[in-house]
Amino acid sequence: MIRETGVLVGRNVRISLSRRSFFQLIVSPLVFFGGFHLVLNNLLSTRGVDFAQFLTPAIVMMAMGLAAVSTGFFIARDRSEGMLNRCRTLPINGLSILLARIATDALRCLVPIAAIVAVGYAIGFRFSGLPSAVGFVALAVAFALSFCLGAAALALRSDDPESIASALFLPMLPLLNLSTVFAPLSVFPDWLEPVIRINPYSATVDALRALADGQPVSLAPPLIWIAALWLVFGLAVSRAFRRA
Amino acid sequence: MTEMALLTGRSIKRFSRTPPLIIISFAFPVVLMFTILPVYGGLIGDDYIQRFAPLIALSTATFGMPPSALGLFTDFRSGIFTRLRTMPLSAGSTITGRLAGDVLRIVAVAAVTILVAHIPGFRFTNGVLPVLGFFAVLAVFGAMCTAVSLLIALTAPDADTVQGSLGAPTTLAFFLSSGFIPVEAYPGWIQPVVQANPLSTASNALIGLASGGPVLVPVLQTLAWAVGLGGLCGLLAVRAYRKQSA
Repeated sequence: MIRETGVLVGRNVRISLSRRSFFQLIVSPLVFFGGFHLVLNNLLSTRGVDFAQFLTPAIVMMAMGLAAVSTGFFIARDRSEGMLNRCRTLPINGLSILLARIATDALRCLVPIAAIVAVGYAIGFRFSGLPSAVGFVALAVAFALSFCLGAAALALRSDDPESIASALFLPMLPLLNLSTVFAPLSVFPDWLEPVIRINPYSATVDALRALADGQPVSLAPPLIWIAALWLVFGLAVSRAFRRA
Repeated sequence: MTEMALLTGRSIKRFSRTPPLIIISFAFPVVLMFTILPVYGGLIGDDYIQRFAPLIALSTATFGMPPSALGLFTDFRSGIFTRLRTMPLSAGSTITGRLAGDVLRIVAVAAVTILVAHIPGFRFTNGVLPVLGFFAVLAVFGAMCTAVSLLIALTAPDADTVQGSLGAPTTLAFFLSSGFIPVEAYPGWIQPVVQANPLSTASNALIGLASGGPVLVPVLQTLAWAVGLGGLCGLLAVRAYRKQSA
């Protein structure tokens, strides 16, 4: 099964070496980085926010959501083009197909993280040390994969790769904006605060920032969220996979 | 004229028979508005909706460009235009029909968005005539965006190029617009770009028409963009279309 997975990961990586991936994984996160930098720099710096430390994890969070969108796209395409059915006629374990998809997505996530952190370093973002960097990347990837699983569950029920991408983008907007990703808690009206606090994006981005700064991290909230999402979406994926 | 109306009708029917497309095009601006409002309302001030609602209405045109160009691209490949070419239709009316359909869709989505924007407090405070002007500016802006989409759909070698060449510029134009945050809040070196951005000039025109303020200058600037960029792309699109049929 390990070999099967390896072969499929190789195949997934090869087909994702396209211009589309280049735009999705590198160009579009950096466009958002530039855009948010121009818009938020003055507004947040005047409020005493250390802007480079604040924004870099925010853009990483955003890119992780975009990674899930492309997972959905690739799965829906594999399904509509018959690749999934073809794999099933072969004497390989169905689980390998899923594991390969998840492993590929984990690898793909590293690309935007590297690009964003590199640009972050140019504007003054710093990890406090190697363990902080490793923890940061691990948490970001674990978080991304929980959403990739959700996207996979949806995509296994659809065979239109284009519409799945836009359907996934929509729920990401409130999750991203109504969280501490792009603005500190104090900016929001009081009545919204409970929503902001409970949002998994807030828990994760706060932990990412603390990890990067080398400050004491409360890892429990993001890890509980991630574990719960893995469980729920994992079950949904295995059900959808058997039916797809 | 009938040709044009028929083709406009086709383009609208195609849209109205794609339910996911309808939901997404109407839901996207509304969700975007309600989720951005608390963040930037908090950062900028109480009257933020008067500034932001016009930009959201305009962004239905700009964010609609990649999917609309992609739809056109598939249309061109699928042979419907080849079929139209076998009929005694002029290239101009085929293109204009498509353009009119897209502009109607953009104005419809923008109207719904503006209606919904009344919930968080957006108001027209300037009387009836400026409201008409408001939607006229939206239509002109929408026509410009559609002309650009048309040209890209007609000249792009593949679907990924369509998406790739429109995605980043439309996103950046949204960020660099004075409808998003005031010009003075941007770093000094980028302010000229923000001021020249068609999304800024059109936002300023809509803000002026809806809630009072300078109207003439931003309207003229927006018209200049529409005639310059939109006209150029429209002409090139007709030419590219004729060339393909030759």
